Amino acid sequence: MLNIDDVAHLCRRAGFGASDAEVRFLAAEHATLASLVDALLADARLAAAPVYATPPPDVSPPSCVGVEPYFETQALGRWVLDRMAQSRFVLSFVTTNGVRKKKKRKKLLKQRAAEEAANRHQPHPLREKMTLFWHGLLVSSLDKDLVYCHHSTLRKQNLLFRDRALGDFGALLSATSIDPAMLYYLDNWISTASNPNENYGRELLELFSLGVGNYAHDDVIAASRAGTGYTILPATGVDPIFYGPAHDYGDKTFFARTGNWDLVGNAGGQGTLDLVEHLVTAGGAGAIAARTLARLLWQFFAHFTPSAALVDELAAAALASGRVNVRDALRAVFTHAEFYASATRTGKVRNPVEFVVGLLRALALPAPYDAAQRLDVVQYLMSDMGIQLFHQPNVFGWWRRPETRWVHVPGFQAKQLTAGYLAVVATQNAAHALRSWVRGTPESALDAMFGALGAPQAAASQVRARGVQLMNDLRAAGADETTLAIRVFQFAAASPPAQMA
Amino acid sequence: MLNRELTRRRFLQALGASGAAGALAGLLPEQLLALARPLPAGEPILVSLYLGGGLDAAHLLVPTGANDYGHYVDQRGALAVSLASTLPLTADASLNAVMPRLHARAQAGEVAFVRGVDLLGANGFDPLSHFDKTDYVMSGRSSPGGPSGVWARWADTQPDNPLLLSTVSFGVPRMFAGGVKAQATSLPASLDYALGAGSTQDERLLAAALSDVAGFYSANPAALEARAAQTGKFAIEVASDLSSVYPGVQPGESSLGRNLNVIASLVNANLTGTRVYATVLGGFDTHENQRYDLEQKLLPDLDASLEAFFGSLADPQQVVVMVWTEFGRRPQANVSGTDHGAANDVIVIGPRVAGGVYGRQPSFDPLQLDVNRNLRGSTAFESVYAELIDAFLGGDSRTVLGGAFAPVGFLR
Repeated sequence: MLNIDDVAHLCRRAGFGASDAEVRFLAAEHATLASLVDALLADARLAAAPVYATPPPDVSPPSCVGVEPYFETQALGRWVLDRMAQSRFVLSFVTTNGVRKKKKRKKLLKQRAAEEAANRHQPHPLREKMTLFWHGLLVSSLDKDLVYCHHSTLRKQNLLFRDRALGDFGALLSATSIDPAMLYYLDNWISTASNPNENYGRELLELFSLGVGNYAHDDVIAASRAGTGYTILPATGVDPIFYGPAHDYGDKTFFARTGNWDLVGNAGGQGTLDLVEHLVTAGGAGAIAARTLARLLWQFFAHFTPSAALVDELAAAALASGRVNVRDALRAVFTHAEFYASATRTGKVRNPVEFVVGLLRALALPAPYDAAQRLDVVQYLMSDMGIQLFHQPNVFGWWRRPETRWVHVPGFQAKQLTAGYLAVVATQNAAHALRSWVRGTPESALDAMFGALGAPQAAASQVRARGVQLMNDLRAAGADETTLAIRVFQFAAASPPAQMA
Repeated sequence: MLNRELTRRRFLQALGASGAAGALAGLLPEQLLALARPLPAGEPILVSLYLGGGLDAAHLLVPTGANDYGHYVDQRGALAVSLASTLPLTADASLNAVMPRLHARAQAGEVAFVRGVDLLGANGFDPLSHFDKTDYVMSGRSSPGGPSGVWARWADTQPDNPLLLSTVSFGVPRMFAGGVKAQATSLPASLDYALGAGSTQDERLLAAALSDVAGFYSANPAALEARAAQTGKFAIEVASDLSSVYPGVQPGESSLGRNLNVIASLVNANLTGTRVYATVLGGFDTHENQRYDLEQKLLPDLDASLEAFFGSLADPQQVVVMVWTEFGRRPQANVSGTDHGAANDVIVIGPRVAGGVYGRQPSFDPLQLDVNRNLRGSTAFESVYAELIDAFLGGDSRTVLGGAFAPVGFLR
């Protein structure tokens, strides 16, 4: 039996939280955190390609000319938000806890496997979370016109991140290097032997793998030359191709080795050296890339300031196979004692995506869309919180900044307004749980809301008491049920306990 | 960008119709104003406008000197700005014709172009990285020397005011962060429907409750949870005290136009005591499609927004705008764009500015370029800061910059 708080913490950070029932089930099933983490990572949903009950929206025509395509592109953001909000760690509550008899146990496990198989379309929280990680690291953004004009490429890129979310880092980096949205976003599609463009080569080394100080400008030039010829089929505008005549087959010196470097090793030619492969293997620069990835994973899942020793330890695990492996790195993160330490638990604020997903889960709502007005209020307000999905402001990943990045005046206003808007949507349903919560005592209403919001610590007693007072004040002022539901929910959602990750 | 202005109007309409919105007028205690400090008449105010991504200044201020233009055209090829597309300024510099309003203001003697500005003797970071370079420019340092921002260090020498440094739609950037005193804040582009701005009773009760919560976290004010609580209280005060002076959304307003409009309204209202404002316009990382992006979108937006800004100020004499970017672009063009460069121009605008072109134009001659084949700077970024501090804002630039830097001379 594991500590309930540890399991709840793991579910919040590795996913988007879990219900009490899920947490209790997982705690009872496992004797150690290592066993729980291994079981989560061994989930059949992570072993195979994802199954989509609802495929991602095939958004409108690949053209900039049209009326307000901005609204159409938000459909993909809603699909992603819904996947996150619907994700579940536990697909079956069949428990083997306390069952000693082998035969009985086997039967129960079989029954559990059947239930899990029947629910395979339920998104796995860690795959969703890692897809968000890559969305914020390997950036391609609609704010660039060419991506915007070909926004179906972002749908494809998001599926690529999902498929390869938890595997070999090199395989993901190779696929991303020749992914159409990335080819457009960092201009590699236009890079040719006679006119190499340094945008992708630089960010591949600076932001995606090694980090500033671990390469020279000449390495950037070599990487850029190695990527020439990887472009997009003009006839469709959305399909990747390799165009040999534009590729630079000449000798390039990359990390002091001279040869026919090629970005992903596919161009052929004598003695081709695979550049991305060099970045991710122990024989190349893999030790540096492993440290970068380890630091970033810790910052994304735990807190922003890992010690150098901790990064080294995690990096060693990431590179244990000789190649940088995401799953190996994640296991090291989630099983590390420091991951469960107090400084980690209090060291993270929900980023805008986590905050909004938390609201959607609390109210069991799909990401709303006002079709009559063609308006996506929630995603609109997310930009005031600091990030709107698929509209990353620049190539520097949006979550790669200290936690205080999410604590500011416009963000607070956007958060309380989003909570209010979603509460309005929820209360339009006369049978919604939010209405029943405020029919009871103020104490039970506040507990129900903080519970549904998955606030990490039980709301501090003073905060809860102030919420109770608010509800009493509103009642005394003659507020109707709808107003009560909206205002008390806004209080809970915008209060500090519900902003913490 | 991309129909965001239309989205905002549509958003406000829809929200009004949904019933989630309150009415107007500030009703909370005026604690914020008690902390802030209205400025004496004419007190100088700096507006820092960061062009994110690295503007190709040569595309804006074209080097037309006899020794320059030929090399510029050789390097840039088809991307070079033709003389016919420029408005003449001096014997060796002309302004891109897509900026007629800035040109008129320059003709009136209110615009200083400082050429060849860079972090000279830079070391310890990657000068071609957007993020590394921006951090160091914002720090006002050419080498690693601590994470604090140049305006945060200046603010440390000024009277306390939580709104002394204010951004609009820009978070709290490095140049405002890391000071000893917490004097920087980030303001929204709109306070429509902000909590604290409404007047219905239920909204007032909610605002009071969320404000009170901040008091529960005083034991450990540095904790993230406490900061979230304090920020909520502060946001409610901001909405309460400033919503009446925030401008309404204008038809056709760009996001830069909107942000500058908010700044002009705050300057005119003189409630916050803000001495340095900052905002940002992104999109200048023109590795490709440079001519279209600059000439059809970004520079016309900049031109119109700056003109509208000065037109909105009650006392333009009070204000100087510093337009800057992290680096220029590589002299040799790609097919349709330019890679990361080095030395670049800073533009300083306002009635207090002694208009003209300052600094040496970096040569586009291939033999004169640096080791990365980029332009060589001759004016230290710190010199621009030093002049703005010593000759405009007030304070001692040597304290802020950790050394003495010769002023450029662009202020009257």
